Amino acid sequence: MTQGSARVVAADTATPAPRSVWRRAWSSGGIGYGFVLPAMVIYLAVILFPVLQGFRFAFTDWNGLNRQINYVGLANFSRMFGDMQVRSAVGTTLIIAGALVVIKVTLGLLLALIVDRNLKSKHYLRLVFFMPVVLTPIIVSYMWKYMFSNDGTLNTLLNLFGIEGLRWLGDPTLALVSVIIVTSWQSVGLSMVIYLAGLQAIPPELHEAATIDGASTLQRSWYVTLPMLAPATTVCVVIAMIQGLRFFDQIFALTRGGPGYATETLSTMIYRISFQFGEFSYGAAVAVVFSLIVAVIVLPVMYFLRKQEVAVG
Amino acid sequence: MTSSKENQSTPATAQISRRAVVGAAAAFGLTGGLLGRAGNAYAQSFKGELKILCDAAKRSALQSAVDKFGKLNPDLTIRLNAASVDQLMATVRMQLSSGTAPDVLPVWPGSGVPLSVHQIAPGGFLANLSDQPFAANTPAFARDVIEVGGKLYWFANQPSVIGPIANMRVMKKVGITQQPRTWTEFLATCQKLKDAGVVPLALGTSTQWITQLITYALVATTVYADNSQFPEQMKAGKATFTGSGWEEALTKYMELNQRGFFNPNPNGTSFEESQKMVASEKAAMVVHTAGTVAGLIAAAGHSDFVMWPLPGRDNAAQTRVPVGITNGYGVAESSKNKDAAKAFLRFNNQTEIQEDWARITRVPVFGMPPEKTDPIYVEVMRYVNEGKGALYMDNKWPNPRVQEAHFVGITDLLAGKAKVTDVLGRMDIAYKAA
Repeated sequence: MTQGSARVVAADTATPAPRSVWRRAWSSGGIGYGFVLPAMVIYLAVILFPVLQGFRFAFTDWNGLNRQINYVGLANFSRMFGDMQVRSAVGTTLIIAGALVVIKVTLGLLLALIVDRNLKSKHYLRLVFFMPVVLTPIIVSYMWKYMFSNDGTLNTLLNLFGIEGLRWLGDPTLALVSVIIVTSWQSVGLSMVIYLAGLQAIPPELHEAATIDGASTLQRSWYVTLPMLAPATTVCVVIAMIQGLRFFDQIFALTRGGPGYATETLSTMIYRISFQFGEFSYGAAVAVVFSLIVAVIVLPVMYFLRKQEVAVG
Repeated sequence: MTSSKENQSTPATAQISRRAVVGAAAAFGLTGGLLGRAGNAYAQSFKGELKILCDAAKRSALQSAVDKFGKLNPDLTIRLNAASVDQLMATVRMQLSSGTAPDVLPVWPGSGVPLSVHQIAPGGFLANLSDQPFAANTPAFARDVIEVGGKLYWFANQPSVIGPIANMRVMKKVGITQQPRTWTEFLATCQKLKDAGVVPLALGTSTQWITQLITYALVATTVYADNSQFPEQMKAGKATFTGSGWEEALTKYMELNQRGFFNPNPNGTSFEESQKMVASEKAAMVVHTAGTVAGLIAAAGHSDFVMWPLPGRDNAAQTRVPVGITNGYGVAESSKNKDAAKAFLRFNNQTEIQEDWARITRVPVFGMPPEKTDPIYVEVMRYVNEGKGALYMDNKWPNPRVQEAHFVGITDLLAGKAKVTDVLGRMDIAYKAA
């Protein structure tokens, strides 16, 4: 006891020993930065640096090969505003994004409500509806391309009912509908899972209380279920919107933007300008404007939906 | 050896003169023969690694050459990779600019696509091959789309032709024995096939590059029979697509569509589907390039096919055939094994290897004697050898946007969303945008 007290006194009165840099870093949480550092380096090299380079190239005349890169100011941007194909691609992109949001939110919620019921087959149905999500978009697209072909599954089915086969990918309007069908088919399972998680997080007591208060099934759905699903809706809408705006793989595999420019989106257009025409600087300029369009659309929507969530909460 | 007189008198995009083609053939035969005998020219053994990238359609032919070259160079590791043309166009430029291009890479003639020699050679990305023996074989008719500033940067060994490829088994069943020699005869042939319940012409324009083939087959006659200097006049600003024989060609293309001579829904039909239709005898003909014949034969299981010139007018003497140079191979300036890469191209120039190329790809090679020409091409090559060829139109276009405007224009025409004058107007705008 005495010895112990003496040691404590000695420790208190002694001058503190200088701590090593490593020890100080450890105690101030610096080791955390150490763990993050490799990921940060990769992020900077693979994501941030190319993004900044792309932004720089938008103001140059770089064609992918010229060693002497000249700055051309806003020339690429002014060219873009007179380019009818860019306007057409913006329109198509917005149509696809809008359609995807509506379809994914509506169908996703509907499917979630179905598989949330106490059905015997609910686990099987969940698996079936979610399975397309884990498939590679290119493989899905080629599978559907076969189904859309002249003698494909869909036209064969129509013929069985005496209906003439449709020009699924050959007609400009139908081609746009076809690519929306394929993407919706593949991604609606994700919305279903998000909504299902939301449904299962609703405390049963809320429904019980509403029932005691005399609320009908419809009223419970409207006043309890839907408001409680607001966070899930935010996630679904934002994901669908971003997916719709940057839609590329399925279009590239199904139509390559055709027939004509009927299914050309900004993503396929950027690819075509940059890699098929070798006009990298112009492609970069379109990409910069595309990023701004995505931000201008998605950020206010996110803000609005989050505000709704807070109001519900 | 091609005479200097021929070199000067034969414009690159003009009608191809018989002397130019025969001269090129003779030159090739002479050089190839010499090379063929000079077996010890390959006695030098190379080491290290040689990376070769090629168009998927030519993989088999190149693999055969790689195997043989590899046996002569056991210490050389050769890596052959193949990709679709679209993938090549998208990636090789980046590889060149970043110094990571393969040693041997595919190169296209002219300036119309991203990997055209006139687009990539001026930046110093390709090694100068002017001192190689095959430089002497450069066909005079295509000299200015193959060479850049009088220098050779790639090994161009195969011509290509475009025309209707007829499944002769279908033709015989329907009772068609005569080759149509005028536009009216061609329409009558198509009508007879249609009446017999066969699709006269398979067309798969959902594969973009297919859209251009019928136009080219017609333009060879409707433009070049009258005016072999058309590309030069366009370059000088003295001619436009609008108001030229292009209008006649596109109008006739659409006449085939209006008469119901194509399969339903060409814009929703792929190249592969169109080929399958001809192979399975659902369709009688398809207007494709020589490069697609090997696939057609493989799908059909027989080689009872013939390629004819597509008669664009009612005067058979005016009929011309589009002829071009298919993609060949260059050596990257950044290559660390440049000598081996050049030796590989020289090796491909040997008579034996050239015959392998012709046999495997079912595409003629320069200098192939007529008796060795594949029977499928005898008729069409007769036109070429008689000087009735017109160089592929896009070879002299200033940028890839003209071709794109043509591709999209054709699909718009087939969808009824544009008029011929609209499409030609767009092509003129794209041409001037260079």
